[in-house]
Amino acid sequence: MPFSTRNNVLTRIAQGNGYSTPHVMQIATTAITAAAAASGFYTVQLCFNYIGSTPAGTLTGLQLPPGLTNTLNLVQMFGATRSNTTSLYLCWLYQIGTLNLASTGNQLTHDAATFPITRTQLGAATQPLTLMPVIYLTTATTTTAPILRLRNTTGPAAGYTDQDGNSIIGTIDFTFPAAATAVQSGFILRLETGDSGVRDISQIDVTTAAAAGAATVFGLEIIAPLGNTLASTNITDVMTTLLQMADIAAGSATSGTATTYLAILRTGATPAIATGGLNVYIQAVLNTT
Amino acid sequence: MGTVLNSIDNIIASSEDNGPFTRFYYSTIGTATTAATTSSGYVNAQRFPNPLTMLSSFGAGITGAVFPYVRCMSDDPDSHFICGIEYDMGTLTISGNSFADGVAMPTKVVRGTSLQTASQIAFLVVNSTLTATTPVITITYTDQGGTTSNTATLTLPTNPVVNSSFLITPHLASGDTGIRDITNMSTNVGTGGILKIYGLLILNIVGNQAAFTCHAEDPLTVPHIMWKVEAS
Repeated sequence: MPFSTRNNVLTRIAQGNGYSTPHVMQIATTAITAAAAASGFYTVQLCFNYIGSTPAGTLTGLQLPPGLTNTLNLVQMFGATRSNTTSLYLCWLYQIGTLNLASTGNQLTHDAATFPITRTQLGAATQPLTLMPVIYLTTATTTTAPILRLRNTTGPAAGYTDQDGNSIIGTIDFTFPAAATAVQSGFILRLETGDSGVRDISQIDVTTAAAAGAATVFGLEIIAPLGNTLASTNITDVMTTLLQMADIAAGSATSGTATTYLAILRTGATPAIATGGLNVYIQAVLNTT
Repeated sequence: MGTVLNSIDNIIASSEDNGPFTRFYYSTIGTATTAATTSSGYVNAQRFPNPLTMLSSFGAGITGAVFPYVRCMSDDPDSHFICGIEYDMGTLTISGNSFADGVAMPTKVVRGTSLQTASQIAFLVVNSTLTATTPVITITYTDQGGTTSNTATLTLPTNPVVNSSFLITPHLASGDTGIRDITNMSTNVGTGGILKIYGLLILNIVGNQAAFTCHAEDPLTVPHIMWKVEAS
């Protein structure tokens, strides 16, 4: 039974059907590497679990209550940072694959799940999502700044499926901003002119390899913005500001089970994401029958 | 099942019931675009060349969607964004001085009646960098009231680069506020490049007072017209 009124939402919260995530606190003590023009301009931080000086070896996103049988709908988010202008977003990250940056050629190992990711949109079931491609360094690069393209030079063959389902052979180089690009640095992969996102990435050609380096490639789906933070706090009223109480549940892979993380995307001016803390929690309400 | 979006509660309920359309948009223009002059729109503008595309179909009973919340961020301070439904109204290929007609502005239901719209704002956009020395572009159009064969003339800077955009509105015929249709475009000079005219119905205008700051006006505190967007 859908929420029919705002009063109905508040009633369900009063009935004990509200949910708050654990208050996530992250402290990055190591500066990540800022993006440059050839690496997409925007520095991106994907905020998984890490508290202290060492990031966790296994990524963990925000946790949702287990065993949900009804939708869990977002009503409010709180975010705080101690660094300069950044912008935070609640997002789903769908793991497209892993990338070896230490060898040339097609180095993408695709996740076992089959893309596109789908969900019901505007009443139409199983609609493919347009995802923003993000690359996240899991091993720092050394010696040489890697260069890659969204294609396989052999052929050449298509590297990605665009927002409309077209197979695209990438022509644009993505060059990492430094020979030593730090672990946990994130960047938005560059797409061809006219493309606004991807349904899937099938091949990534590393044309210049580093001596060492590895990354995970995600497709990013925005759930809701968490506001603009100027080294301060911000609260987003999802219900009456966005008018969009999205179901927090992840989309579904075409086949198999996608590796997913509910995470915070933080992006902004290049000096802003060097170091600093982040506090986030989100509140939702269970859609009871 | 569709829901008539005639109340705040109905918009919230429809989003929750039917699933929202949410997109993260990211675009870069790697080359500086060409500044406007008093004879070419006055205001500097860029068109980001990768528009979002709508779903090819909606669920049963759903005839359209509205966009209550648009949020933008840029590395460029002191600018603002216009997010709109864009209509490709015509193309001028400089080589050969060749015009190809595009679409007219659509009809939309306004106050319960289907009406022919005119552009709320229209831009002359460099689709491919021009090779032309201060080209004079003459645009023949049908105005907001249906009067045909009015003209607007813009003198562009020399060799404007791709994605440069020039506001047509200041150069419309006296008294005109918008364009229903483009019937011709021509240039007096030039050997290369492509110009397009895009008419927009505005979904939201978002300010960006400083670099990397986000601003959005929600429909409760800053009510705005929410044009219905159809599938495809």
